[in-house]
Amino acid sequence: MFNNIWLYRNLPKPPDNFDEEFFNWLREVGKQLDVIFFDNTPMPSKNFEQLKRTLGNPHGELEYFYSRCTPWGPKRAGLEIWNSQSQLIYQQTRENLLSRGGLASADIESALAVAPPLWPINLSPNASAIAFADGLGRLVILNGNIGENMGGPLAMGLRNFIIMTVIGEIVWEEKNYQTYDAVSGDAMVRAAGLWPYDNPPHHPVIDAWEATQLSGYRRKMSSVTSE
Amino acid sequence: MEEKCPKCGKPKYPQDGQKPEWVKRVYENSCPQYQLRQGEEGLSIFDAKISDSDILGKFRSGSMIEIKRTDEIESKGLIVLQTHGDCAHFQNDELEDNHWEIRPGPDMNRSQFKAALKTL
Repeated sequence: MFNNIWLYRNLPKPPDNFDEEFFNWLREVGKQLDVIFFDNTPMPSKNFEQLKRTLGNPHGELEYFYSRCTPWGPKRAGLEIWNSQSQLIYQQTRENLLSRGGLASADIESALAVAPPLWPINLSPNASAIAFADGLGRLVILNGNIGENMGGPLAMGLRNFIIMTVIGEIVWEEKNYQTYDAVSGDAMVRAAGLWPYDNPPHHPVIDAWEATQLSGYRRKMSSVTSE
Repeated sequence: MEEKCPKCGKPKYPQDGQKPEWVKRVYENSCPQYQLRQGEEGLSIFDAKISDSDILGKFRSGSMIEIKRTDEIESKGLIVLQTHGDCAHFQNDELEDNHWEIRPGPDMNRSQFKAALKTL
């Protein structure tokens, strides 16, 4: 998939596996596209141990990713930033689900209590991403920006997410988008995430995102019908 | 309508700051000083009146500071724009209030933006 984009831009194709060769490829395309893709520094072991104490054992892809990249980049108090970001994510999830209706606070708390924990992938003002491992053993990557896109589907697996991010940068150059939000909404970028139509992953954070999409649709429809 | 930070509610693009004459940029030895990271629409800089230690205290050890004149940046067709920055990162009003970004000039596309940054 997407073979033409690599050929067209004279960039090497991504390797099939999620391993050292893949990260070598990522550094090479980063040089050619003149962008730092994901922080090229392992997460400090102290931080990794703290995350594991709070969240449990990570999915294997996550563990490998953290051995290569720090989700908060060069920010010193990264773990505190993540803690405050995840609190905001859960708070917004509660608010969105409540505003959708049909669920009491206690139901929402129960759903959150049994949901798989969220892990940081990238923390930045425009391009935050979070992950969870679903019951089928898949690592699911979601939009982690606080706001209307939070919890929106991004990619299945870190390899697809990273390829999606690189394709986003290529598309940004080609189509002259003004914002990263617009880049993220590009059809080719979204397709690169390989989000499944059959048996899609479930999490209250995704439900909360769907609730905001539905309320946006309702708002749009009510403005049409009131005209 | 004024855009606000979804985390703290402050304006994303405050317009109360006077454009600094000199700015500071944090970088690491392993990377070019003026290179974008994924998803970045601009490069983070600070008014040079903020002390190095206040800035570096927010970044991992090994980070360094480069200082540059604003008019040199703008002479490349780039814009120096006051932005709210990452409040979850800074947690410090002085850093937030003196945060600026290097942004592409009018009609500059992403490739031209990167090319201009390389000349800094």
